[in-house]
Amino acid sequence: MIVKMKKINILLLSLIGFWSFISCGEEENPSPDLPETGTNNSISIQVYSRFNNQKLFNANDYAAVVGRIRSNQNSVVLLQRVDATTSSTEIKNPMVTIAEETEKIPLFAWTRYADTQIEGSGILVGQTITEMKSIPTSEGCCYVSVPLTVTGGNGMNFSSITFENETQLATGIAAVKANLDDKTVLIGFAAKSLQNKLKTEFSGETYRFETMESSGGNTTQFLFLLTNPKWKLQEYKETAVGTDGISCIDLKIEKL
Amino acid sequence: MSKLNSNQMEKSVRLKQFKIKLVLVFCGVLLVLQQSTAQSNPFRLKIMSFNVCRSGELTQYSVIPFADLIRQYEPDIIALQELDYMTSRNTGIDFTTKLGAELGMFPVFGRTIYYKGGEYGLAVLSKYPFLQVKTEPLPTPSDKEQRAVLITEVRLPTGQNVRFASTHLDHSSDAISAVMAQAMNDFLLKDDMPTIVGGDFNTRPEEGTIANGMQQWKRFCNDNPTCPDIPTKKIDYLFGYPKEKCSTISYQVIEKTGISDHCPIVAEVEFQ
Repeated sequence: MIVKMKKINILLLSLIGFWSFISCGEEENPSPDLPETGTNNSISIQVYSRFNNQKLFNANDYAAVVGRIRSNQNSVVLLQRVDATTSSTEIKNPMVTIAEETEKIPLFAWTRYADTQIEGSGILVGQTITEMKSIPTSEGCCYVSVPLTVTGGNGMNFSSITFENETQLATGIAAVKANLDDKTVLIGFAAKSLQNKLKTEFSGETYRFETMESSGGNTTQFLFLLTNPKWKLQEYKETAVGTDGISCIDLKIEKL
Repeated sequence: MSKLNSNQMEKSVRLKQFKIKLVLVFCGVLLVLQQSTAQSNPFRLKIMSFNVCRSGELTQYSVIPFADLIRQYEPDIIALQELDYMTSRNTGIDFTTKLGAELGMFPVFGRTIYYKGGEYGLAVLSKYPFLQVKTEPLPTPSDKEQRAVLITEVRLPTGQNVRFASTHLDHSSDAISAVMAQAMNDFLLKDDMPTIVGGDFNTRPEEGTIANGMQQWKRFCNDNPTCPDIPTKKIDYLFGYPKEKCSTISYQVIEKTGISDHCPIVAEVEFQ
């Protein structure tokens, strides 16, 4: 009888031990559906903008922006509306000048030609690229995407788009949705009047959609971050750069 | 009564949605029409190809003499070969971006190999922005240096898009470079978009790579020698496609620059 009891106890203890072992295993390997934060897969992105779709530089003084880019480690720097200006004698291309001074690779996300201006945003990265694609979706609106390798060897498709009106939104959303995948980190700008529409378009479990507004005055746009749920916005900080109305937004984004 | 109102409201919403869709379709049609009209208008471009000789070895890796020379000829788009990106050889500079910054042009670098702690490859500089960029490796025997073609799509102010590529083919045999040219054609000749390729083909006009491999292209250049600085052999080229829709307005080999072992070649070309 005692021997039988001992056998049952051993069996029970073994079962409890086995159960604990399985439980521990489950805790150490969380389900991919419930990703945890703090995985050290954070990337820093810096965005420079006036939040009103005006060109970033009114004069040829880029020192404050150059200084700030140099003093921070960033995977990507986005310069909204860093237009190039052409004349019969020269081309002023602030994006390339800033890239050269900060030792970054410059990529231009073209949106439109307006007289002597080549309007668009600059994407500065710390690595050479093998591919970049831009999809003009309507007049003055273009979706751009560039594959990059970031922290921990992860792949990131950095993307950007700016929406100024409903027509651009209607045609641009399809391009955004068609190109969004696990690697996409899209930083865009949109007119404040489009905020609710964009929120509705990117609601639900398929997307992670965050909006950020500038605390400065005279702004007409907001910034948005669009990813799938495998990415998460960790931090967001706005700083005024110089005295000319340029804002710098430091974003820390984590791959879960 | 309230049911009637809700039906009326539903109808009104549907009508509104229909009108929005109609406007969107109209806008789409306009965009396509605008694009196709722009694409069919003739346009001219000034183009250049230049092998900069081991990323500016003859200028102690300074981009300034190259910028000064390029400025004189005012090309719209340039195909460049033999550029370093942050190698120990060129004192860790990004030659392409530095040259782009000097000229105010949009630069793009395409890596062919990792080299001396950095990268080595091709570049395109353009006065106009790039819509697409892709570096495609070319089939290369394992005992040879990897070669590639850097393909860009440039948006012109006139609304046209032009595909512009830079390449540097193998120098060891015509058979190897012919295979590379064939692969390059597969990447570039896929539609009717105006297309230009410039580069150091490392083969003479009578060799198979050029005589047969580039038969589908309009050759913008003549057979005058392009290499070395006081040239004796023709190995640098500028080609256009579709052959029947493009022509050479002018062409020049710029000799004795003193900054490279190749002569830059420059052409003004027209696409119909």
